[in-house]
Amino acid sequence: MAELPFDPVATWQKFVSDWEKQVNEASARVVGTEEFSRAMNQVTKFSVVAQQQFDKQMEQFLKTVHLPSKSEVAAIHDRLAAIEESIERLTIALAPKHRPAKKKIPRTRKPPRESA
Amino acid sequence: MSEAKPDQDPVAARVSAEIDRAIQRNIKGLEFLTAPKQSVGAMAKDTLLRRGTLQLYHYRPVVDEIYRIPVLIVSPTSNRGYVFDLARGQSLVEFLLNRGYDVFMIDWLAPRREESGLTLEDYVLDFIPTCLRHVREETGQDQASVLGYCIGGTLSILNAALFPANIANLVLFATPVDFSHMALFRLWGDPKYFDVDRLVEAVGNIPGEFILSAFDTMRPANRTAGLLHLWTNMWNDDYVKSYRMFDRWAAETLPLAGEYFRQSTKEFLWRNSIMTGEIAIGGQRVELSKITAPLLSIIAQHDHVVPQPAAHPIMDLVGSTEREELLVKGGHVSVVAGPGAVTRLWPSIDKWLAKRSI
Repeated sequence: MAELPFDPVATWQKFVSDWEKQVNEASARVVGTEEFSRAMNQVTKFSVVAQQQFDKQMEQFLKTVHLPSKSEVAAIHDRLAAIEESIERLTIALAPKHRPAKKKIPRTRKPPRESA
Repeated sequence: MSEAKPDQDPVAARVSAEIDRAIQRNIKGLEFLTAPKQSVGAMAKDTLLRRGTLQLYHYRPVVDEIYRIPVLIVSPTSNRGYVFDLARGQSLVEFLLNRGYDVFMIDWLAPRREESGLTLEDYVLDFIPTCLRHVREETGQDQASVLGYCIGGTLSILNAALFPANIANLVLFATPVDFSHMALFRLWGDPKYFDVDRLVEAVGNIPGEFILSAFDTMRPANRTAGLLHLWTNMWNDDYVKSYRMFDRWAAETLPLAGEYFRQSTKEFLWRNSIMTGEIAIGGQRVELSKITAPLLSIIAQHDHVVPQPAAHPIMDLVGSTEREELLVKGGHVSVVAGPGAVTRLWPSIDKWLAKRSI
């Protein structure tokens, strides 16, 4: 396809690529510092503690209003997953009996001769 | 899409094509926003084993004669294995099947809450050996070639060192062994600031979002730039499909079993115990020099997750007499499924593996 004297699409793509590179480089200088690591881990620690507190209170509230809590729903999910897994295991165990026998493919293949 | 007429001004033809693309972008952009999850997985397979987080597939051969030695792919515990089988023409599994290999894959599912106690021992001494036993029963062959990607490669190395007789060949993609060179992970996981015990005790399994956000923080502009590139290429169905497959794969980053995460953090990031030779699995010291199978280690030049110095030292640690390192263009994900992998890397793997699979 003919080249335009000014190709706006190519210019845009180059701009995006350059921007991506510059932001990543600038960010690497920030995230690669001890201060960032300390701050990030503080935030993680805080959010974990806050989440735990919130979960605890929410669980209490849901219990009061006779609704299942997140952990109870998760427990049901786990049970369903376990049932699903058992069914799948049975399916896998029964499959060979109901599937036509697998064609025995000879394991005699040799690599193609390399051209000189 | 309109085509340039023979007598049309080339500049006018180009402008016309760009207008066409702009219209296509809007139409396809709307389709993109309302489209369901991109389907993945090109090749027919049977599930041989499903046990909690562990799944083992056997892909159905597509040729009439296969190599004697089967291939077992070990995907990373943080991601789904379908990155090896995204779609026709973009599937390492398809490529290997067409070239005559008998292919199996360990694909991990999100560990359930009751699996939060899984440890490195479960992966190295149970999951991988169990899968190799299934491969043996299915094929009648005592050995298999193991292809491990990222941390799946690290687990494969530990397994190969403890059970060397089961391994015919070892192929590693972007596999970290020297964690002192994984600078950002090491810094963020510094025991001075990172209380892994508290985190694991609080959350049980480490959420996938936590893992994904760590990767995103390493390259924060990638996601936005990816969306901008997507918009520019919205007229191109192949580009959009590929974007959606990789986007789904990243979004489906798996949670990690809490104990496994705690142990990996301490052993790999804090003690760097593979390099120091102090790593023990189930009380047994792991000596990498016991690996004697031929080794092919593939490293991506622009891998920001596992840089070359983190992956390279395996070459000096194993006892294999045949060992080769391939430094290829690309990044951490494109090394297994990018356009360069399809055209250059996969044929190189085939060339290396074929003569060692008879």
